[in-house]
Amino acid sequence: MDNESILQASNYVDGEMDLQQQKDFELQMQGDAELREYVEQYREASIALKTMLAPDASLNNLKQTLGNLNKTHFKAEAKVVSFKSYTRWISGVAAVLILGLIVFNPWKKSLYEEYSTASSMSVSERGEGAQTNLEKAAAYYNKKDYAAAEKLLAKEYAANPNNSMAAYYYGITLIQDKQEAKARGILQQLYRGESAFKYDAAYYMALSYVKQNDKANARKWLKHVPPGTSNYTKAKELESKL
Amino acid sequence: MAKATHPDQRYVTALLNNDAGLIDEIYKSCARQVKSYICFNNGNEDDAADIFQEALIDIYHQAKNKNLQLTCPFNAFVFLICKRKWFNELKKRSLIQVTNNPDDVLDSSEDTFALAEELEHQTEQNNRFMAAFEKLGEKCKEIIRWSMQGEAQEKVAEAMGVTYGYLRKKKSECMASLVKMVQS
Repeated sequence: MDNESILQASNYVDGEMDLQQQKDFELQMQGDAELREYVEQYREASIALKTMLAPDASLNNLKQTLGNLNKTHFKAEAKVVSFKSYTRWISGVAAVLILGLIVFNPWKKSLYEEYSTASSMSVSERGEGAQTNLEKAAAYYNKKDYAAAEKLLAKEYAANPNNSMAAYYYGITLIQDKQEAKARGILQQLYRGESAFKYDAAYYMALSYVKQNDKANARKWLKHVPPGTSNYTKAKELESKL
Repeated sequence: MAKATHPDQRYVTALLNNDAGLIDEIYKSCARQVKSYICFNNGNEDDAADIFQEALIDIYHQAKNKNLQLTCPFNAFVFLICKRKWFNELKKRSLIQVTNNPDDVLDSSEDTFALAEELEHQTEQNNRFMAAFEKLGEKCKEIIRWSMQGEAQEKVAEAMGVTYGYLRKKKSECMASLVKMVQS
């Protein structure tokens, strides 16, 4: 196509022609299929470029609205479906109701996050009075403030290494805190014992390796999670993904 | 004969008008389904949020530039767009090696399918033109960018320090190169 036609097409689509010029050009198009096609393509190109390049205040406002709603409907709603199982156990001082948890949280990034089953910690102590360290730790833990929970659990664990609940969650906060080796020391000991957290500890041993991308050890520990225990299905699933 | 516009067209209008209340309704009726779909198909919640937002923005563009008239329920439409977007994303990430998504035809009504197809075509076309735009010379890019600001061409010419005649001529040549690139 010649340069003159190209210029005319451009002026026509961009609205740079007066009425008479428009009429003349339309007449010219009627007898020129190539020109008609070019005008159509030019129009498409203009729409595309306008979509991508033209300043659009309403689009910016819309994006802001969508950004806010995304936070409400996606991020904040990142609740897990939790399977709560209560296990009552008695230690020297108190009977603690343990709320174990979770299970399924598919919308997380890493395998570790996806398969972290202990997303909340629930403590219920007999008797009344000031909040115990364990309760405070649980509150932090449930707010995903693992660093704060870790400090309290460290104290609790130091004061009473036989408190399997404190040990278990302390182990998890250590994994969160990238202290996997230290966590494993505690979890391994828990696994050797006979507490309610025995197999949860094995599962988290595996997860600590998953987090460090040590698949061989992760697989080894997943095999220590026997059928019938709460993490068995997850363990199998995770094993198949490694 | 043109089909009747679906009452859910109000959601399309809500996107154009940034009507937060109605847009919130969109999220309430569609976000969960999109989230489940993406999360169960190798994605996570962030992916779902991104895909959902992109889909709504594509619908906005389609409404604004192509006068989108909805002839099917909004949630079916947005879900199909998200599915297709996610499918393409997975292809990009090389997680699947399929050429088309067999669910589409089965799961969607003809109208939903056609509208989603059209929107996808438009989005792809926009991307192709943008990719071609990026390959143009600096002068062409500058002229086109300026032209898209919505100012009168005389003003654009003045701002660029060129004559109106030169601007029009140069722009027509730049656009011709762009069209040619996309065609080839």
